[in-house]
Amino acid sequence: MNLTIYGEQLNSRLLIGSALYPSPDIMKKAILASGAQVVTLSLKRQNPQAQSGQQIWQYIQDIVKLNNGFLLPNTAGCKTAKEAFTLAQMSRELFQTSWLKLEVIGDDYNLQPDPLELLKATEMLINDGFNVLPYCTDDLVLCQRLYDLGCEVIMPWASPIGTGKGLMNPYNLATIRARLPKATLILDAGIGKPSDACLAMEMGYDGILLNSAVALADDPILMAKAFSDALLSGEQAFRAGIMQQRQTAQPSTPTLDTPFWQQSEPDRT
Amino acid sequence: MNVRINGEVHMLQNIAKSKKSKVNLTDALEQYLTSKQQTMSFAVAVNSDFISKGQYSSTLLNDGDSIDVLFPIYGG
Repeated sequence: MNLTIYGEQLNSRLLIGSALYPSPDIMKKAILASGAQVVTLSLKRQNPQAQSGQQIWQYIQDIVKLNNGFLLPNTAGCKTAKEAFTLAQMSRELFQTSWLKLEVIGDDYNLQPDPLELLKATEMLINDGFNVLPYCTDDLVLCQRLYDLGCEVIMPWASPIGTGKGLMNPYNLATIRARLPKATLILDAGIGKPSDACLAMEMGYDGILLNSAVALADDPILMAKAFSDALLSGEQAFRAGIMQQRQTAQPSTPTLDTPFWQQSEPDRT
Repeated sequence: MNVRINGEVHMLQNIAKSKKSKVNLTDALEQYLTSKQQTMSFAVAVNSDFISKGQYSSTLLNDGDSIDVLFPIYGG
C-alpha cells in the first residue's frame, strides 16, 4: 500500500494534522495509531513567555522519528501569494524540507482557497525549488493548471476545512481523477468519518489528508485506527475493481431448478 | 529606535560601538527573545521578507521596521 510523494515512498496513504487534539500525548498516540508518516504543522508568532509551542514541536519531532516520517509545513492563514512565499521560505529553513502544503485562503467564511493567488504562489515556489502540495477547491481546470505548473501532488478539498461534511461534490472529484490520471491526488479537508475516506479511495484517490475527524473524535486514538482501516479497505476495493451498478434486480442465486416455485405461484384468476 | 516585533512596538537599544551605526537583526533578537527562546527553533522575516539565519548580523534595521519571529506550532 505504498504512496509516493515527490520521490519518497510511504507505507501509508494517510497524511495527518497535528492540531486540535485534547493533549500532546493523545496527539502522539493517535498519529502513531493512524500509521501516517506525513505530519502537518505550521509556524506562528509566539509570546516570549509561552512554552506550549516548543512542547508540541518536541512531540512532533518524536513522532516523525518513531515512524520514519516526514514533516509537511503548511501556510495556513496566508491570503496572498507573497505572504505564502515568505512563510514557505521560513518553514523550509526551520523544518529543513522543501515540501509545502500550500494554503492561500480567499474567503474567511468557508476558508475557500483563492485560485488566482494559489496559482501565483505555486509558480513562485516551484521556481524557488519547493515541492508544492497545493490545497485547492474541487475545480477541474484549477487542478489542471496546478498540474501543468509542475505539482506532482494536488489536494482538492472534500468540503470546507473542519466541517466534517465529507465529499460535497463526488462528481467533481471523480472528474478530476478521470482527467488527471497521472497526478497524485490527495483529498484534503472536510473529511468527517472513515466512510468518507473509504469512498474517496474507492474512487481512485491516492491518499487522504485529515485532522479534525481524528482530533475531535471522542477517542482520537481509536478513530485514527478506524481511518487507517478505511483507507486500506477503499484502496483495495479500487484495485479489485468495483462492479457496475445495474438498473434492475438480478438474482444472485441461480433460478434454474428452483423447487416449489410453480406450486407457490399465486392464483390470479 | 522603535520597531514592531510580532505586531507590538519595541524600543531597541543601540549597543553598537558607534552610535551612528544601526541596530542589526542579531541584536534585536537578543533584546526581544528570552535566553531560552534564543536556543529554540525559529525563523524571521523583516518587512514581510524572509531573512535567513546567515543574514541576521548583516541585516540593519530602520526605525519603523516590522519583524516577525515565528516558532513551530501544530497545524492541519
